[in-house]
Amino acid sequence: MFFNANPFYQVVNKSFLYYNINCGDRWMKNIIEIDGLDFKYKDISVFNNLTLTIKEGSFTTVLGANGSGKTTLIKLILGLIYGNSVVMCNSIPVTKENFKEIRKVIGFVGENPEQNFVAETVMDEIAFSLENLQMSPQYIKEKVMTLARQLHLENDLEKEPHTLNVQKRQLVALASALAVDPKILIMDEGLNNLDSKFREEVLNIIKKLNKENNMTVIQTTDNLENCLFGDSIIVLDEGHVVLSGLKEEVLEYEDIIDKAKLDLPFIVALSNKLKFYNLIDKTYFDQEKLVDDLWK
Amino acid sequence: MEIKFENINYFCNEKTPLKTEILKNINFTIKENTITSIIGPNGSGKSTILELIGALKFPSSGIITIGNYQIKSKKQIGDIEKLRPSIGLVYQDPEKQFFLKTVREEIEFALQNFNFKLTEKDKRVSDSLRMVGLNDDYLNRSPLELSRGEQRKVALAMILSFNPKLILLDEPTMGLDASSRKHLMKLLKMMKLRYNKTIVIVSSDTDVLHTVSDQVLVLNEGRIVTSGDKYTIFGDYDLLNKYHINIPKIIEFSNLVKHKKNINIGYRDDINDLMKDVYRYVK
Amino acid sequence: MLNNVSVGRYFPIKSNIHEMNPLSKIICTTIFIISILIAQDFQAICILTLLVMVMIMNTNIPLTIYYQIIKNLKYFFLVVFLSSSIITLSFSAGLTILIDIVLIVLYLSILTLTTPQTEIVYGLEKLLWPLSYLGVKVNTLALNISLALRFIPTIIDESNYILKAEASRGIDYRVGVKTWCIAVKDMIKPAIMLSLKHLNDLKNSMVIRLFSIENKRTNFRINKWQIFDSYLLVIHIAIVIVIIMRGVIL
Repeated sequence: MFFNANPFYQVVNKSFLYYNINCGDRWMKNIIEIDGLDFKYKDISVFNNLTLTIKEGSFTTVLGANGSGKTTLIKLILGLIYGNSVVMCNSIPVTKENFKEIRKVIGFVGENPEQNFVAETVMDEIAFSLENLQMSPQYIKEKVMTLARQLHLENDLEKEPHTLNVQKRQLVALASALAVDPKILIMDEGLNNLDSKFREEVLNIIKKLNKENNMTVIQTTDNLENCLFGDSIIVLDEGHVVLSGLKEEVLEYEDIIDKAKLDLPFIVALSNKLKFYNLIDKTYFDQEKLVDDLWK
Repeated sequence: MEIKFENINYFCNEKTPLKTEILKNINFTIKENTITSIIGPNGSGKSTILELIGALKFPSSGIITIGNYQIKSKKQIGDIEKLRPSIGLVYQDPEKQFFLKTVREEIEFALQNFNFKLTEKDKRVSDSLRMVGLNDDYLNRSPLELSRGEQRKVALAMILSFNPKLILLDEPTMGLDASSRKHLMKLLKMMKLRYNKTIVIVSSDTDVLHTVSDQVLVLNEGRIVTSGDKYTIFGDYDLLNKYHINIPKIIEFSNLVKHKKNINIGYRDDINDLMKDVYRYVK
Repeated sequence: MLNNVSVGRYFPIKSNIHEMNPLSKIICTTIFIISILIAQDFQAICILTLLVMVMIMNTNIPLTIYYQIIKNLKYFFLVVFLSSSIITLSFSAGLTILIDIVLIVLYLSILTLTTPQTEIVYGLEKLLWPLSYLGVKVNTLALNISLALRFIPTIIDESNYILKAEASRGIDYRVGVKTWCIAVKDMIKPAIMLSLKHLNDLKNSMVIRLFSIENKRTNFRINKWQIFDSYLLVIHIAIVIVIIMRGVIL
């Protein structure tokens, strides 16, 4: 349990307590731990005494405006850059010596996957990580086919990734990340390019893996609607964690979220206003339920 | 400046076996002094329409009329140059548009090419920065060092500086945080009302488009599906769902209330107005 | 703007050449380049031209692609012709060199159009393996060469973007020679910087996915060496021997 000088952090810790009592082991382990990290980029301080944890098996959204440090945080977890204190990932310190161990358990989907395609066909692209791990050709073939089937890419395996449309490109990137059966899936603004229906489909696949395989999902975004998908939220404001906990609790702190240059999701903003006028008594996350309850 | 597309077809990579049809039989008119949004699924040809209006690509067939100019084919390059100072196009990827050392030089670039007086240059540069919400400190910085949101603002300042009559924006809100988005929408409204500009926006951020558009054009696979005023288009649940376009949340709520409880609370632009309506109908 | 059909793009289609083992293709390319450098007279060049045409036919790739590639390089060819004519003080020598260069470009295009990048790296590694005894880092070299080839279309894409941005603000390179010069001059540095940034992002993403130069990798899809490979290899070797003999006899 973390206690630090930031007053808001203490308030939200009670959600950890709650879950530790009621959900048992699933929420006990911290899969990411950062304690007192400083990081500077060209003389500008990005993080100062940063402290945060992410629980294994959670679906955490890291929210923050541009420049709040989201991408830097991801790079620190991935071991692409290093601060003055060590990041613990899956109980292993993130250092140059351990980078192979760390990256074996992380699958990463970036914002512009087309810039990072390394192979000329979708099949080779998905297989890339597995080839690097020296898996047998048999295993690789099976794994690629399974993933392609799950993500509806069977007909595109021989195509060049650049020629596919945006949604499919994102799916290819996701398949490549999932190929190693990662313990942690990190999406850096990964879902922004997708339209709503497609995003739902992709999220359902990810949520299934999150529940069935206990895969931790971390997504960074500045779009508040995306944060409704997960169960936990961490809010970054100019390099500081100002809120951290379950989404129901974090979204109550409207002023802090506003100060962090973020907007509330529509449904939450509306709920808060309706609560203020005593038309409802709790925050809703589903528009249909809200409408039903308003006019009972 | 009124924009008219008549029977426009556009093929990419013509005269090669990779020829693909991007736009087919496009017909529409954009009236002067309005804000028009073009929406549609990815790959439907929205950005190409902007590039055609901006005379960066030429139609394979058909006529584009912009104000008093007509664009029919590649051979009219000479004419196009006269049209350029009236059109400002801001791209999707701001970082790919910068090629000079400082923000000041970038903003001055267009002014120099369009022959603005030297005496006015500095004032115009500072004014355009202020309009997008940045101050003079940014003038001597390299555009590649800025954050994505700041780059977008500089890109917009670059075209505001030469005061074009027509402003074209490709995904302007991607990468902008909430307060910058609100600021941008306010700016665009001011451009339309106070400075009489015509604005065309291509975007998938329908929540934001809803607050500013007058007309909406829906595109799919290179063809125009429909067009109309914003409430008609954004309120058409089936249409938006069919083409995988995000429905503005505020409209979705009003639609839900109408369908489930048969109460017509009407469409609103602002959440506070919506709040008042809900309050009235519940009590 | 600039047409993006260029050297470096893979064109997936079923053909004899596509199914060849990458090593044999690279060996044939090397032999071909050696043949070109040795060939001096008209008949030798005819034989090599014939070889290139037969191979192009065997790739099943539409001829307009090759035509576009040559067309895109027309200024480069012009510069080569003029400078070599001036240096050798003879137009016929300049013409010979021009034809040599065109043939090499065509052959390289055949290679890159029919071979995905991962296979090129594999082939280069195998080919350059003797150099590792001299201490050369063969893996790194092979990767760098294939990345350079892969980046030609990216650089063209980036340049296009910048040219369009310039045009929308007044400098349209299509209008006249003066604006062409200004447009291109301003475009070179940012295009290179953006491409380098891409390269860096690509390197990062490869490293995240556990790519490591030193480690061995499984290649699960390399085409096996088949009869056609040996057949083509024999033809290439035969041609180069013929050319050498002619050079010796004449």
